[in-house]
Amino acid sequence: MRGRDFLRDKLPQMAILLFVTLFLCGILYAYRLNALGILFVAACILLGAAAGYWIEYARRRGFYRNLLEEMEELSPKYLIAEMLEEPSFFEGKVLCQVVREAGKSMNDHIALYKNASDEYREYIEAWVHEVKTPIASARLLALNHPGPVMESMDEEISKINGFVEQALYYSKSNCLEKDYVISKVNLEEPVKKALKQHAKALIGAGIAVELRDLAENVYADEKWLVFMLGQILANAEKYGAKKIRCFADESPGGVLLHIWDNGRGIPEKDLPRIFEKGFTGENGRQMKSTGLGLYLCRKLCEKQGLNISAKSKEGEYSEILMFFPIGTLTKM
Amino acid sequence: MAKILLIEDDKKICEELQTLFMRYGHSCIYSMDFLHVVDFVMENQPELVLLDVNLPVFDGYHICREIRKRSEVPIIIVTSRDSQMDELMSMNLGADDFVTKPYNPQILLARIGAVLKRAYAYTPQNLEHKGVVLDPGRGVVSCLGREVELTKNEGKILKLLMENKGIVISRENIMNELWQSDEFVDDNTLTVNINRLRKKLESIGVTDFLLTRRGRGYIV
Repeated sequence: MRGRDFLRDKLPQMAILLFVTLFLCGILYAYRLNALGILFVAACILLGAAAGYWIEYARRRGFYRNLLEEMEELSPKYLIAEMLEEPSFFEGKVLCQVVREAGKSMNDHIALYKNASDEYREYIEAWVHEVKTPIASARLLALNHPGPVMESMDEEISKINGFVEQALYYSKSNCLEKDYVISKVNLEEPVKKALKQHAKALIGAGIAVELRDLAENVYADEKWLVFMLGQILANAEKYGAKKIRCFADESPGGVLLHIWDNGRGIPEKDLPRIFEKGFTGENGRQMKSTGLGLYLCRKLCEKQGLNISAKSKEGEYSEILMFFPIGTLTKM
Repeated sequence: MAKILLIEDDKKICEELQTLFMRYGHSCIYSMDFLHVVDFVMENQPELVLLDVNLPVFDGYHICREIRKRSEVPIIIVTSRDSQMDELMSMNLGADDFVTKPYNPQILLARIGAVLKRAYAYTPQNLEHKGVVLDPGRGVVSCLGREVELTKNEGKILKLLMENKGIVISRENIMNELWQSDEFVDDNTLTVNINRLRKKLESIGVTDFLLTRRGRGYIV
């Protein structure tokens, strides 16, 4: 709050005061008071008023300046009510009370939604664990009654399991801090695990797999890595790959894992957007994609400090690249 | 082979696991009385316990601890929660292995085999069908005194077929089995493996043993 703003705000009062003073001076002049006396009276009135205005300005200035500074610095701005210092003047007190009450009601509101979303997430997680029991028993049933029908049933059950897994990771993806253990992982392990998990679908699609140079150590959460690789493999299978090649090489500052497939590829205009939530693109629309798989991959990568990107030539290949940074500090 | 005791509250899973284990030559018992489950274990003296975590009355961890107080029987814990915490807890309570649901039944069997091998130095039994004997431990197949060594893949294929004698096993299933033991073979490699296996069988005088069912798979 600057002096000029304050004065502009007080302009009507000052105009009236000035007018009244001039009028008074006029009357005194009519009563033939001498000029010095008139000037003295006018000066008393104006100085008194100016002193009053000054005191008023000084009390407000500190409060508003503080308030604006706090607002600037605060990152969740709605917490401003907590930072307010009770001022000594009346309007300030009203403002303070109103902001505090608004803030409190806002917090209650937020807490309500936060609780609801936490509860929902907990429910989804509990549900996922529940549903795994019937999935396990359906799998056993399929295995104990071998035959072509049961075999394709088993494949469908695998798909259900994949979707259930995706739901679990999706619900967890907003609070991953809960279970995540970054440790030294040899890339060979998660790649093989992901391949085994999706073996049925990949074999069913007649896909040949080639692994080489995977004996690189990286730092990541293995469980998440298996999930992400699974999403990438499932995409390759979905978009008509006949060959998948997984290999790693060292690149400046870390290790780069390539998952290459010779499926239909990604159109150039879609390429920058495939990691966006809900983006399906030209291929996705034909295949009923959910637009979640790669989005979750990116999100999980971000949380672990990894980088994920894609290269593709339509009709020839697509390649997902995962970059695992390796700190140089530990190599000393 | 081994006597396995199931502690699992889903009756269907119990029945299906029982069928599965019997097919692979183990015997299997379970009880639906979860109040006296530890006594049930002590009475029956199994060679291995497969323990679910989510149970009525007492949870699996408690039962695991109680069993450990009285017996050294190998325990495999099965759970649908796969956090590192659960795994750590299982191991600390004295479980021998930890499998997450929904398990791949083949992997479950392999884990059971591994735990039995550790605990009892137990080797897989020879498989026999129409006079052909497979020793999965050594990877050797023999017939009437003549024997021939098999590669890892050939051994796995023959083992799978002989465990399911009289049933047609599809190429996809065979490949899946090989993939599960880190051999990511493709269709052509499988054809080569099968042909080599047939040649080896012929070299010890076994013909018309491994039959092709066109479009469906293989059978012994």
